[in-house]
Order: sequence, then C-alpha cells, then structure tokens
Amino acid sequence: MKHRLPRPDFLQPEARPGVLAWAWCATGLLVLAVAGLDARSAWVDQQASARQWAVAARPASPQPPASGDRIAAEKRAQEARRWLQRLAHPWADAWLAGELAGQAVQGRLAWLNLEHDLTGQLRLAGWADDAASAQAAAAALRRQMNDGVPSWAAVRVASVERSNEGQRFEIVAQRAGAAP
Amino acid sequence: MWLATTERPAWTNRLAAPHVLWMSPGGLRDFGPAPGWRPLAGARGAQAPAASDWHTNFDAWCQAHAGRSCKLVLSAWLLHELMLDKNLPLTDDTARLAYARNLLRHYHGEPAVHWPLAAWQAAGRHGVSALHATTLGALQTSAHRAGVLLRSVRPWWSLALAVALQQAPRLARADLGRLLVVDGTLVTQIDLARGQLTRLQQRQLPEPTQAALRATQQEQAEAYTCALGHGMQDEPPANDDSLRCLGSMQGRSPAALWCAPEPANRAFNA
Repeated sequence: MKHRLPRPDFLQPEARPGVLAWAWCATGLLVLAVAGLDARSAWVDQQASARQWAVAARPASPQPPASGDRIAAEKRAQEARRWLQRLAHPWADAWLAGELAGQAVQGRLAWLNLEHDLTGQLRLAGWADDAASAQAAAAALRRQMNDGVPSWAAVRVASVERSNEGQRFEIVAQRAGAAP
Repeated sequence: MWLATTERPAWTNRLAAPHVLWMSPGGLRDFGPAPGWRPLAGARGAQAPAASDWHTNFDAWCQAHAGRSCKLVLSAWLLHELMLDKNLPLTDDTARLAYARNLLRHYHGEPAVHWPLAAWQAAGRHGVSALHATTLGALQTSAHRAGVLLRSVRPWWSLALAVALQQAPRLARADLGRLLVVDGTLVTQIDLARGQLTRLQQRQLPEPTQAALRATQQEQAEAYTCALGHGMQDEPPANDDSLRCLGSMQGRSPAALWCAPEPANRAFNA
C-alpha cells in the first residue's frame, strides 16, 4: 500500500492543485456539458416522434363515443333495436320451405339453389320432370303456415327452362309479415 | 555525435534528465541524472561522463554544467524542521507558513524573516521546513547566470524516507516505526505509526558514533528502527536487532539518493 509521503519543496512552498487537476476538471465539465446537450436533443427528438406516432395511430382505431352524450345514446338504442330485429328473423321458415315443397311433390324434384336474405325474398331453384311438379312445389310453399299465418306471400314460379331431361324452375317468394 | 555539453543545442540540454545534487555545508555532490523514463533511449549512453563528483558549491556546479536542469537535495545541516501541532486552527498553507515564520523569528531572531519555507503534510500532520543556510534568490541567481534550470529544492529526509520505505517495507507496516536520517552528528528522526508520519524532529549526537546513536533510542518508546545516512565514524555492530542500518553509514555524503532500479529479469530468478 502506498502511503502519502511528505514532499516539501522550497520552490513550491504551498501545495496547490496543479495544472493537471484543472485540466481534468475542465475536461470533466466539458464531457458533462456535451452529454447534457446530447440528452436534451434526444429528448426533443423523442417528443417529436411520439407526436408523429400519435397522429398516425389515431385514424386506425375508432373513437369511442363520449359518455354522457345524449345523441349518441339514442343512436346506440336504435342500433340495438335493429340488431334485435335481425336476430328475430325467422330463418327456420326458409329451411322448412325447401323441405315441405320437396315432400309435396310426386316424382323427381331436386333442389339446386336456395337464396334467402334479410330483405325477406326467397328464391328456390330446382330441377323437376314436368311443369306440374314446379306448380305443386309452389302450392306447398303457399300452404306453409307459421302459427296459422301463411309464412310466404306472393309465391310464384318465376322462370322455367325446358330441356329434354326435364325443366329447371325457380320459385320466388316474399316473406309475409314485417318489412325489412 | 553528441559532443561536450556546451556544444549541444540548448533544447536537448533542457529536455535531458535533471541532475540530482546533494548540497551540504561541506560541498555539493552531483549524483548524476535522475532515474526515470527517457524519451530518447539513445541519449542515455551519451550522457556527460562524470556521474558523481564534488563541487565546492552550487555556483561552481552551475558554471560547469551550463544549460542543464537540476534538482537540489538539501542536507539537514542547512535546515530547521518544524512540526505543527494537530490542534492549531490553521486552515491553509499560507496561514501555516506565516505561523511558522513567526515561530522561527521568535527563536532565531530577525534573519528568520528571510528564510525560504516549505510546507508539507502527511497523514493529517503538517510541518514546515526552513532553509537557513542560503536564500532562494541566491540559488536562482547562480542558476540563472549559467542558464541552469532549478527544478526543485527538497530536504534530504523526504527522499530518504521514500528510499527507506522501499528498502525496509516493515517500516510501513510496523505499529511504531522510526527512521533515523543520519548526517554526521545531526540526526533527523521520523516517527511512523503504521506508515503514517507522526513526529519529525532533529537531534544532535554528542559524537558521530553508533553507540551515541543507540543511546538516543534508550529513552524513547520501543519502535522498529532503521537508520541510513553518512558521516559515522564506525560500522554498526554485527548482531544488533534493535536498529537496522540500511547501507553503510560512513562517508562524506549519502551513498545513493534513490533506490537503484531492479533488473528486469528479477521475476525469473529462482
């Protein structure tokens, strides 16, 4: 271990911090100043980039309506009612329509297509041997009841295509009851 | 390539290693260039031939070695040593030097006003060395006349303490250590406690013999004692454990002012 030894010098009677100590002090302060400036510029850059990110991110996510807004509440109620209506749409009647119409027909009847959407229109495309089968299917649809009330209104055979193996027909119906 | 000192360019002389000079009332001894790192390795072989020789005084040396730089090491005969009490309310070195000068003037009269003083400190203790034999102005004038650069003027005991701690590391570890820097009949006694300086004082021996040296230790506390210096008349006794002598203590001047550098391959010796 090196002990601090006395070094009296008549040319330098009083001990004072040398030039090297002041040079170290100046260098240290310079390093601190540069580091401070660097940190400040990094902070400014970070703020700018955060602002940019916020601006870019805003359109992607929908704004939730502010609570306590009366008009928005009414809109939400309307939306809820609409969805409830949609959920209450009787899809079972549409599936049943194809079954019943097929059972009522003697002879060959093959269903090709069933279209039904929320507007209430039903299109059934099928393949039958003769015209009578198409009419019988349409009649079965007219007879389809739902709690005593006919399910379908305006049932008609829309198009018939005759070919040598049979005929392709389409039945168009409208759901009886509430308008869309 | 290098001719006599006076024919070298001035800047090489200035950049060359400073000579270490031992100054005592009996003359001045040149111990040669101070050891240390040399920027120009080739310059060492071409140094001035006289490694150590005697001159009558500093002025004579300056005339012989114009344009060099030097460091003065002062014998204890040229100095008065003062150790300041721990409890003195002196805040900085200026205050300490003023206090010391007052004290010296009280003891030694008016000439003490012009003595150069140097403050030193070690392990919280402060002291002042006073050069009474000459003034700095006289030294600087002789140096300036010959173009010699005076780099430092130090009392010998500070170098001797460093040398002793290197040669006897036990001195730094002992609870109570003591170094006797002997200069004929004047002994500078440095007390150490675990390597920290506790006391420094000058003592006079009745005669420059080993017996007288040992007699001074009788009435003091038991301590691990080392002695180095010169001016003794006899050799130390062979089987004496109370006082360890670092080197021969006979001669007109110290044998060496610094420890010789150890050879580089010492680690490989078994």
